[in-house]
Amino acid sequence: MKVIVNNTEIKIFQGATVGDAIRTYYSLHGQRAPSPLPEAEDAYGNRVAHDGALTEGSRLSVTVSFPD
Amino acid sequence: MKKTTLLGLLALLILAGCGTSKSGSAKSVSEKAVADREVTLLAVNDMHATIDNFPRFAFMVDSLRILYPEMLLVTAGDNQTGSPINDQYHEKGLPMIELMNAVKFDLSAVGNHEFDVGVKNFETHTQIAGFDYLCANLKSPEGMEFAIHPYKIITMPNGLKVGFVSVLDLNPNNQPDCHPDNITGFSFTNPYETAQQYLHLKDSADVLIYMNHFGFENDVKLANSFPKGVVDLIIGGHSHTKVDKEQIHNDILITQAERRLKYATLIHLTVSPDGQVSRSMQLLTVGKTGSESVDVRAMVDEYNNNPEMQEVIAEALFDFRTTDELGYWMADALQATAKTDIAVINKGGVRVDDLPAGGVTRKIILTIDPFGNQVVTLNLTGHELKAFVSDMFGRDEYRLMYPAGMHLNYTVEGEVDVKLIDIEFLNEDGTPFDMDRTYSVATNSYVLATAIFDREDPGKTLSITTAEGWINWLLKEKTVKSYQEEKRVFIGN
Repeated sequence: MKVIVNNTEIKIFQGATVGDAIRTYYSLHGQRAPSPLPEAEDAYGNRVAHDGALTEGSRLSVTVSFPD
Repeated sequence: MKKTTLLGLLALLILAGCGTSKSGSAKSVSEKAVADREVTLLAVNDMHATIDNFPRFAFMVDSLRILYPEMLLVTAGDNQTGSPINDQYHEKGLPMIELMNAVKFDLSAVGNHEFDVGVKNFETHTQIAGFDYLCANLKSPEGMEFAIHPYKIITMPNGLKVGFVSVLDLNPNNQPDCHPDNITGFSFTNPYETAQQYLHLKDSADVLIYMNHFGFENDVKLANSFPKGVVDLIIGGHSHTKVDKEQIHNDILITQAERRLKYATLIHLTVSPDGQVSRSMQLLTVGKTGSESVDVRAMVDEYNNNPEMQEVIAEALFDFRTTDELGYWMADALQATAKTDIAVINKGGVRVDDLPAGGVTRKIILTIDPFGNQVVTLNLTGHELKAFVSDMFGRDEYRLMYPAGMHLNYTVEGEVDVKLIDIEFLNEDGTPFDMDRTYSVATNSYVLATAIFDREDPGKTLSITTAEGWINWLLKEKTVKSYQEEKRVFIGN
């Protein structure tokens, strides 16, 4: 399925969670996801837990800071 | 139990401010009322077998029932799966049902994890539950006696009729996200289309509530598809969304209380004599600490002292002397769970360095594999598999993968800053892989989320954790062979 993290489209396995999408987002940017993972919000500004289910087209906002 | 804290909690609840909104022109179907009538609900979702929060939650429910004696207690599904104490109980999932009965739930949506206990156990749960299960977009297996209803209308003591409908999220295969074996005989219908078919219930109820296991963003889409003024409230679950402020979409209030009984949503619906429905919600913190129900604490302590966690489920005939030996064992368990040609796991997924010969308990498995990663499967060609394993070399801090069903021959360069030159894939008998063939592959959700490689098949979860699959495999195998002579990964320059 496809989900959007920080305006980046991510193709991820069916049944993936918010945390899985964040890990994929970091990998796409050549980074290792930190532990704990950063908090995420949905398209409506609600906080979503990392083990929350994603559905096709879900949009997430994650505050990340990649090293230069 | 600290009685004084009860008064404090009640005072806080009374003083706490709640936003209020009104929904459209609802038609009152009850006997003509001359005054406002109210229904209060306490809604949770995705409890995921968090039994340790139940004593605190039960205290909160008891306290609220002093304020609101007719309060309805509801959950938007996924009561099950998330605690080994509950999930590995000899009658799988029974502790959650007994605890929900103890705090007197009124209704539960069916979540995708309700199926995890197995078809027969789930049937039993629906029969022994002191609450009603709702799901409008499933049909139970023929010849079985599931007590699952598409909707329910509850008549409150004040005469108010409160209608509930529920729909369950389905994946692109038209199934809920759970192990396929656990939905044998069930059939499912499109949740959006099904939801529209029950709007007529507003003709029989003063208030119409959808209590879905559908995910917040889907609930918003559903709300926007409804005609205005028919549905008053959607109580949601599945996406573990923390809705701490009013979310109103197409004049419908949508709530969700994250997960694992961290929070609960207190909702008041007031119906005026002309049928207008006013709504307010407040997200309450449940948490782990604070006053507890003594009776429910006793139940939880008994579950936690369950000797099954210490029960020997298999006998390891030989010592495991290295992480590699444990990793090969874990990979074999994964392959057996997923029934795939190949399984691969990351070295960092093995959290124990060695294990002496002897009895293997559930607790030992959960110590070696504590992450709760899901089993995921996908079909990959040999070339895609090579891209997958090569990508993980550069990502996982331990770099190498533990395989089952194949051997890996890594060629690397350098000793400190190690660079991957090539990986040769071999069958277990040492013959070369057919790189053009498509193989069924199992791995864990951490690995598949982390690896970036081109492939046709994005993969899917089997909705079972790697540890749970491992435990189930050991329960069948009974003995564990020696892995001391196993050599599946070779490294050369």
